[in-house]
Amino acid sequence: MRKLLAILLLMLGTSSVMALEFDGDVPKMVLRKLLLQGKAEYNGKKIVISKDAKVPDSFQKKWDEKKLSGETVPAVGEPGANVIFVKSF
Amino acid sequence: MKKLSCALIGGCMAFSAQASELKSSVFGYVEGYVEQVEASPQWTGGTASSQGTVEKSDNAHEFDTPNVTMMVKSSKGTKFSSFLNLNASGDTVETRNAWVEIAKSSKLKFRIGKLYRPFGLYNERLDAVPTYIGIEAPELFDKDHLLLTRTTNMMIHGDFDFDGNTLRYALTTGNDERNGGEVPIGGDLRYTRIGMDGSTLIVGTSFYYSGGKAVYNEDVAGGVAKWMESTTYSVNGVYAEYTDEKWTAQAAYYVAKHDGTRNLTTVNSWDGSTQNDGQRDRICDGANWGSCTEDEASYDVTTWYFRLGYAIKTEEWGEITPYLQWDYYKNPEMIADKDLGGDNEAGLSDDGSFVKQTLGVVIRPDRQLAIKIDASNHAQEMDGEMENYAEVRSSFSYIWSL
Repeated sequence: MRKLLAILLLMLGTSSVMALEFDGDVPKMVLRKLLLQGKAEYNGKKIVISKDAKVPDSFQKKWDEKKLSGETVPAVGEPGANVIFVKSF
Repeated sequence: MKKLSCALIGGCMAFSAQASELKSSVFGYVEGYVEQVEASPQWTGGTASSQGTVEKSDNAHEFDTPNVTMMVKSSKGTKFSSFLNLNASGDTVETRNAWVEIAKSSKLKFRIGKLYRPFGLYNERLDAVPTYIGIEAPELFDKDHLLLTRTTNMMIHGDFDFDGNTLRYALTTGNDERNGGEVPIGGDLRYTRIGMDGSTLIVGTSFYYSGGKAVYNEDVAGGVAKWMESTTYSVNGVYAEYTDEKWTAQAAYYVAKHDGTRNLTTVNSWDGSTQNDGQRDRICDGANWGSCTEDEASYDVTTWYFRLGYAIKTEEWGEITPYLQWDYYKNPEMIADKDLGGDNEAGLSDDGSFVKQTLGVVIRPDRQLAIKIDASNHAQEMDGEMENYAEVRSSFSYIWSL
């Protein structure tokens, strides 16, 4: 019963993680956590957002806060070498 | 020849590829503000040997544009970046931030110029008005009674990644309020944990040491009182924040410890008209104003706050976030008269403390627009009686970008 509950909780928790589509060498859960913090790089690679991607409000609010504080946040760009390219959220 | 051409073209391509990485963006925000303070208590009629009486005086409503900012962020790859933050709200344009950053990696970055020091939840955030709950800064960053300077000049900082969770450190130094060759040191350490549901928990600690004697500087608002010859001080604190799709909860506690020397010429120039007996006991050792001889000033400034908000999504008004805040501040060295360098909150009370309870709401019809309305009750003990007065304020801020 406890295992079933744990699996259900895991499925609930990861449902939004699974929606993230991207190209790049980074675990999906890690990328999601980095995006929620407004991080713009991972292991020396820039995190870049597709111009067609719609950034969810929960991410955008944090990005606006960090941007107005002078920090670098993920920006719209093109796929390429040394880039983690987020196609959709 | 072909190899040479390729090398040259390759070199050119590499150069142009690097050049194309240079990205700049121009943005900022405008804030309109209005406030009305209820008739507030003041000390009047005091003399050199005794305090006066507490009377309430009316306050006119005030309009202001505290933030008319233009920011320019430029970065080249992940190695170089710069930031310029100008505010044109006054008669002159103020440079709030102007810094250059070089990163060896995300774990080691070097920033120099004029920068907000990482210190708790709010110091770097206060120029992101449209994004946070509340209108007024937490009391440790109220410009009338700051615990330390908001800006400094040099920083080494970095992030350590733990499967998407982050440990961030920052060490700072700068001119701050130093007397001469002192080396003030500041620091901040925070851990950010992201939950499976997207919730975020931040816990952190900050510290600051003036590095020796710090002096009052009219051009740099900080932690040194205007009537101090000099003071050696430290600030330490802890903070935490929890956020998820709906809830925001924040708490922080800070204490500044001062070991200073008063300028007795300045203190003895006060006539006692707006000072109280508690201040005469603490600052003048109970003697009459004008004949103070006690120049040693060892005291602690203590402050804490708690903030709670709950976001509700609506079709018509966007995100509506009611919030409440509870602030406490105590500075036993403070006086009330702002012209003398005082503060008409902590400086009013018998013991230098006050509390402020705030209820408000942020409405975000669009992510670029924030309408905030809140009301505060200020409470402090004056002449043994608890005095309260209210303040209502509203802020309209809009983020723009080119």
